[in-house]
Amino acid sequence: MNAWLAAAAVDTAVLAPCLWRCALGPPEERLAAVALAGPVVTVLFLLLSQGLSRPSYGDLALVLAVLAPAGTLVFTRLLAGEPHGDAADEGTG
Amino acid sequence: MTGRHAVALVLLSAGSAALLLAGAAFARLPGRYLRLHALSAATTLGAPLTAAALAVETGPGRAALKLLLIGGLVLAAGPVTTMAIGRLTARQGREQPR
Amino acid sequence: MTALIAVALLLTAAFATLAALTRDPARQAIVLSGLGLALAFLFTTLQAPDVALSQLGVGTAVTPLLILLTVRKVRRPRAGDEPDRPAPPDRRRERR
Repeated sequence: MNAWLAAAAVDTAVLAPCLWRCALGPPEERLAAVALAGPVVTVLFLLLSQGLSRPSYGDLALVLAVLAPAGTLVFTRLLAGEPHGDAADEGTG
Repeated sequence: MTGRHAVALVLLSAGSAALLLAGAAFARLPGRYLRLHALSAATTLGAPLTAAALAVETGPGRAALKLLLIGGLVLAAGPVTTMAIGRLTARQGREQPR
Repeated sequence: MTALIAVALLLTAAFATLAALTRDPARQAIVLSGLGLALAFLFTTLQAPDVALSQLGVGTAVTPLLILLTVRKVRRPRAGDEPDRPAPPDRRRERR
């Protein structure tokens, strides 16, 4: 367990608030939680790549750094026309 | 080498602290617009600082350039994402007045 | 390393349970995106980066996108309705 893996283990704690906020509330708040989880997981990939001394794992971080904002923007476009706030409010999670 | 390692460790602890702060803020802040600020703390401080730490550790070369590119991507995408979510929150029309 | 795998497993289990318990498909798609991130992290800690790469592509972008597109297509007929109407399967409402 070197410093990079220890930092990765510490940084996984940030995913707990993401999980919690992802469980409650309207879609835009859940989307904020996922949008916070994206950079955190990118950092985790980078730290794992250095800690396990596998440089090829950095490709994962690169792919996620491109895909996560794109996915979030797609979500915001598609959720904008969503007439939420009706019967779907009950019984969520 | 040991000096570079020390610099990398300092940058890494700063990045991890920023990420942890963002996580705590995201859990604690009231109001959905305030929580968006926690998101920007993670993208503008946490991820680029950690990427810079790894780039310092690997030394000059293409690997460091790739790490800096990843950090720059996250840094550039953070405000865009935050603005998009904020606009979505405002448009959904159920926002609290704060 | 074992601690990281344990945390990733717990995270994946929590996200999967949450995705199964969420009722609204739009919210479920967002939780599913988070589940994709957690699964990719789990695969990386288990040192399977190729699986994690495909999981990233499929789980965080494509599957939630397909679900949201489907939800949008299905819900469009009652998009102009009153919000508190239970939306019966009424064919006349489709043309708005």
